[in-house]
Amino acid sequence: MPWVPLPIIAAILIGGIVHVALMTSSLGVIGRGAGGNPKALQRAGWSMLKTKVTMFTIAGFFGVLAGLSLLGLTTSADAHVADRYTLYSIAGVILGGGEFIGGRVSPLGSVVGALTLALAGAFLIFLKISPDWQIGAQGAILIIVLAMRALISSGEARR
Amino acid sequence: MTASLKRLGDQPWIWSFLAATAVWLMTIAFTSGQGGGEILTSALSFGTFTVIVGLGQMMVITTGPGNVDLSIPATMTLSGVIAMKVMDTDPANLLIGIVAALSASLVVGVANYILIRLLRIPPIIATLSSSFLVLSTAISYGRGIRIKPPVPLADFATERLVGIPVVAMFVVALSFLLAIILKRTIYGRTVSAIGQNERAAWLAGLNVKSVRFATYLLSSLFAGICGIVQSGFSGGAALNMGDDFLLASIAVVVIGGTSVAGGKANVPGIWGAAMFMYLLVTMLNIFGASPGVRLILTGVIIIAVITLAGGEKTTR
Repeated sequence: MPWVPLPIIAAILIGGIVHVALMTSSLGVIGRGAGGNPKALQRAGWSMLKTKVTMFTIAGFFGVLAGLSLLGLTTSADAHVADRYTLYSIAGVILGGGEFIGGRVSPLGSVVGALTLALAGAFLIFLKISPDWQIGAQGAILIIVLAMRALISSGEARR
Repeated sequence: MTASLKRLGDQPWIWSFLAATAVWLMTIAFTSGQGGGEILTSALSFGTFTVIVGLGQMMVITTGPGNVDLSIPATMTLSGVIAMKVMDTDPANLLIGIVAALSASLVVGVANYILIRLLRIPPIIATLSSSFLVLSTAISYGRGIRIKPPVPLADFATERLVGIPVVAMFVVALSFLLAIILKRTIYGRTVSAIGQNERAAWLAGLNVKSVRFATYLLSSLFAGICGIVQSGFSGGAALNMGDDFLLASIAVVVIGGTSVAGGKANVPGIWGAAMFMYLLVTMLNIFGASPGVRLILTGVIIIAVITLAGGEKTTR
């Protein structure tokens, strides 16, 4: 498709597939249940260990996909090429509406969250902020977006 | 009494000391007895810094699942940079420098808590985001220059009495104090209670909010202290001086037998774990392992120790 860049299609596609898988398949329900109420899941006869192993395996698989994409972008790899993605991966999920304590996720939201973070990075470059404050500005953007999320969801019933 | 002694034997921190001793014995077996004392001394010197931040991290982690302070490295750096710049190698400014650096650390602690409490950002993200701002402040404030610490501070940080670093003695005293605070004061008991069951603690009328606030302040304060002392130790502040302490501060807490799920702190384990971490790297260095192998072995051995230490306490 010449009009839409491939990364955008890929992002939508991945978000959509994971959404369908997590929200409709039994594996997805068990996975979310493991975060929401592990005890109930165990009483229902599901193995927490198996569920967690599966989830971590899937995370590893996505890590490999991301690594290959990153390799395609940077055309070279070293041991520290992906260091900053530790934060990005967590922040993207939280930004996208995932719950930190588990059980509540939004695959499409995570995609949007990750895009927001990437755009924020690009935005900072265009703002021509002094290099000293590049990292700080990233932190500030993260805080602002998360604060807005907290304000918006404050109407929601709290546990 | 015998019951409490038996409980002591079951304490998970035993493992970190056993592991540290085993690693040390293996090292001196390899060098056929040479440098055993020196290795211990340097382990105490370097391990002490990890212990200081580890103590703060331990308190934060004890207040319950999800609570962790990732701003420790940035706070250390900021504190070190401010201390060095305010002191400006002049011993007369020693006190002002310390006060300035520690105040800055406390500001970080307050900011962390504001993000967590008022904006309800999960602590891991809140402290990480704030650490970015803190690090930027340190970079911008300490722009390029490397100022030496004043002589008294450097002396204090590197002084040794019969092979034992003076700083280590102070931190041992600090650890005892913290252990007493944890076991005997309302604040300490509340920290554990919140970690075990926040709702129950709240229903029991404990002041959950202010205790958690104090805990984040404490962690930042310890990071600040560590930043100052380390600047004195290594001849000035560096912008990457905190880098190693992010994982180290969490690792010593976990290896030391403190429950990651909160509610169960363990002060002596921090010492064992800090010694173990340093001795492990020393051992692998002496064995001549390449950096890659060293990282893999470090990871495998840490997992092994945590498995051993954690194997028994799951049965409850």
